[in-house]
Amino acid sequence: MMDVAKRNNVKITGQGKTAIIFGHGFGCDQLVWNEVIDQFKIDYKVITFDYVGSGQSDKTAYSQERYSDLYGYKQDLLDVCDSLEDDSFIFVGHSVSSMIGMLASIERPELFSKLVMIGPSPHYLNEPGYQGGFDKSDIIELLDMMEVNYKEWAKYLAPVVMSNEDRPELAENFEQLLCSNDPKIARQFAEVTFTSDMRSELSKLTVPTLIMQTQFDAIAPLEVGQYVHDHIANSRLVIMKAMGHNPHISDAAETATVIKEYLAG
Amino acid sequence: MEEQLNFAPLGYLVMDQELKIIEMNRTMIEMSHLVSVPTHMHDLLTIASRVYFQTYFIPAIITHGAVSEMFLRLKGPDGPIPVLMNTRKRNELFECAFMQVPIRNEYENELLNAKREAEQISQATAEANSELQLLLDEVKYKQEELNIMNGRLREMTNTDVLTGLKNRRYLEEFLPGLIAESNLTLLIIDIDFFKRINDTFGHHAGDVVLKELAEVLTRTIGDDGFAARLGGEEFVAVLPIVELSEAQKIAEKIRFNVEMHDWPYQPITVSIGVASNSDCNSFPDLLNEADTALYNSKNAGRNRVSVSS
Repeated sequence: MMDVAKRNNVKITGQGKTAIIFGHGFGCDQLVWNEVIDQFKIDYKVITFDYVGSGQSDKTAYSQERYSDLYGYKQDLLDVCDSLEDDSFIFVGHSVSSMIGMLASIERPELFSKLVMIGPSPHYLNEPGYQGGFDKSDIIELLDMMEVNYKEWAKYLAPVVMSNEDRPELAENFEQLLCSNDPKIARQFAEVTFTSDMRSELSKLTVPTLIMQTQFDAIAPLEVGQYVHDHIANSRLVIMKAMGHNPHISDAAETATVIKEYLAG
Repeated sequence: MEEQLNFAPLGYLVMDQELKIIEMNRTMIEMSHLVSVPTHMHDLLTIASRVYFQTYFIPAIITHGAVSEMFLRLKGPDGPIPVLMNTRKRNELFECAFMQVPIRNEYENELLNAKREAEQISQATAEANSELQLLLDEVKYKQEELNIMNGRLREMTNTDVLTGLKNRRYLEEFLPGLIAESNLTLLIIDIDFFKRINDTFGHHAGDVVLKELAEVLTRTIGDDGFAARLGGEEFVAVLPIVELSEAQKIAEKIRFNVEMHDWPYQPITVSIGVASNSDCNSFPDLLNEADTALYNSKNAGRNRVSVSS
């Protein structure tokens, strides 16, 4: 029997009954939600997890085949949901996770009551009549840059993800883990993320959806957020004051407030 | 800005926490080939660098208050300009220093390419190895198949096609060893007037008789030894017993069973010569002695057993 809780490093906190599950984006892990989820612990049952290959997931469970497209990650999310006793979830997904949540909601609409997308993009590449924001050469440059910077960002990310400043040895171990294990996985996740095309899936989504768009998001610009809003029937678009692609880190308070208002309304 | 900082041999830039540029030095402006100071950090970066910057800069600076050696590419009129950036958070502002690294970048790209090539080579090696392993497995399988076939072939070359008994070849191959190792008794069994059957009833009849005789021999000898066909109408029985009187009893039983058997064309009898290897130790010698005894049986009127003296 597969131990999803261990494989996906599932963490459950909060005193509420309604289950809310947070999915991290590419290049990070569940601990990026730390500040945001503090705002939900009183009213919700809060679930966070790492996709296989990220954070402290079981990296031996990673396979190039399963995670060669977003459907493998969608299965991770469904596995996590199915491993819990709750029968309905609110899903909050950052960046590529919003598309993963969408795929899960299309397959199992009864499982999700509401969907929150932060900085979603259904397709990053420019196409005739569609401005995803990237050319193929940009993606290649990005992948190269990740490789050159690999050790550096692993080092910086480690204490964030461990969130144990008083126990630096944990961060150090994690950094080693990240440096020795992850470059290939991170690269494939980046490739999968930046080459996916989910535009035709948007209209299949029936679950009520909140789209959170920040200012100056270099990864998912306003036009893309608007495109997502236009193609999902039951959606609301909120333009945030926050800047950049990581409002849940840079502006956790505003991020939590916007989500809460939507869920209350 | 102080002149020394303004013209320092490195780019210097200050931005607020929303990544809006507050000031930058002359060197930085020249480095990016700018006409005026842009408003946002993103305006300086290539698209890929922007993505990288947004994904990793904020988490890093928030945690540590500093970022060092972040590799980025600035937009330039003649293509991207590779730089290393150090940043420190001070007074709620981000102070950044930029160092151009075109030569180091070339080396780094070469290293990266070499690394990729090495990865490709090791992957190709791994693939070749697994292919080799498949081939080895195949060879092993073929080898086993060959062994089975060889076993069958040996069985075939050692077997008389008509009767299914061991043939002369078998005896020549294995009896010398048996004779050297242990005592045994050899019986030569010859059908009396076999030529008449062939002449009267045809060769097919002869074959039927030979086959039936093989069955009678096998049945009669049972676990006491084995029968073989030497050729023509000549058979042998090899008995691993020493006592000649004992062997003689079995020979007599054979003679009796053959005489009593219900033959299809006409009654058949056999003459038998018995010899043991107690005095001789080569297969031809033993065969000769048994043959002499058989000759005695024939001369004495056939349908009888003679023992070599």
